[in-house]
Amino acid sequence: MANIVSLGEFEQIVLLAVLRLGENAYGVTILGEIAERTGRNASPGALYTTLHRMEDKSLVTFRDGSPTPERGGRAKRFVTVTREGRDALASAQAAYRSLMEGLDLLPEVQVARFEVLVGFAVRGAYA
Amino acid sequence: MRRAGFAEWMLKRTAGAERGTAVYGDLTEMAATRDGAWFWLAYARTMAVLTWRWVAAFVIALASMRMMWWIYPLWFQYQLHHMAAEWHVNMYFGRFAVVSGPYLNLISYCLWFALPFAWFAFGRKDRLTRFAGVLFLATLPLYFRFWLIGVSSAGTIIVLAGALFSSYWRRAFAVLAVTCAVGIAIVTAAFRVLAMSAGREFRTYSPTRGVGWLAMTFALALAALVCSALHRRLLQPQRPEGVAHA
Repeated sequence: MANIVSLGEFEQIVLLAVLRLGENAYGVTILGEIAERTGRNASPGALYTTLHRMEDKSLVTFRDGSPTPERGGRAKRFVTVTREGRDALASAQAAYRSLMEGLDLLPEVQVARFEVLVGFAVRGAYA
Repeated sequence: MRRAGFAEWMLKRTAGAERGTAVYGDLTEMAATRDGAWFWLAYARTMAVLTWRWVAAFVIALASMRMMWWIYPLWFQYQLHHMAAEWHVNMYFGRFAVVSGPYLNLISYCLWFALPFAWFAFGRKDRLTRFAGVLFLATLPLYFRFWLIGVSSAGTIIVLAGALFSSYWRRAFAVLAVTCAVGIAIVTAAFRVLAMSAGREFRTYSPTRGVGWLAMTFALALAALVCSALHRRLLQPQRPEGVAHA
């Protein structure tokens, strides 16, 4: 069995945002998704540092889009989560779920949302 | 439209060409729906995120160098005290130590800066850090007993020769050698210029005080920039532009 890479909290957030965005995941949309879902205003520098660290671990890949006028003629860099990235995310989320079990820390509705999130990550890993 | 020019160039130099262009494009796209000050605040924040590690590494390396300047006079007094007695213990190592000592000292001098810089800028497992670490360990006996200088010189020669003939370590050796050469060349030139313009002796400038300290810090900053640029070019995996990276 291949080694599963351990992920930090922000790495998991970025991977989940990229998975949610699908084909349209690039700097601006990823930052927007993170801000909308978590209320966290990360800088593009922090995002790209994290993405490139994950690229070195083969968790994501990049592909260049076409240059657009609203970006001053600069191309977008689209991000895709690899199989290894999905495995790492599923493993991290499963570990969270295992640790959360029986602690009764979250209100019912939040537990349900957490379960959906975990289910989404785990399903995504084997899609 | 905002003039990119220097700001984008700086971002590309800091983050790499591909990443710098993409980040600048993201900032430009996001700034279109925000006020003018937002772009520069976001730009400053991004630059801070991208450079804080380099700055921290430089400050730590500078502190390490400063500590070495504090240790050096104590060590030199110790060596002078023991030299005569130990010369009789081992004539061969004594002669070898006298010949190789200054070169070994210069290498060790550079490593007091280069090793902490590489460690904090590129990480413990980086090839340059590991090479500088091994070289530092080889030069370390220099600071203990006089006769060990000869042993240390022999060890250092073996490490350098091994790196030169190894395809894996050669690039790390090249990055370290050029970084040290740049640092030494700039500080020597700066001290010469200072001495000539002030009509003073070259040797009267101290790297720990006043204008000498400023010249040394400037030289080390340039050496650190060269080190980062060479590290990116020679020791980091190069990916083809404009394609998906598998």
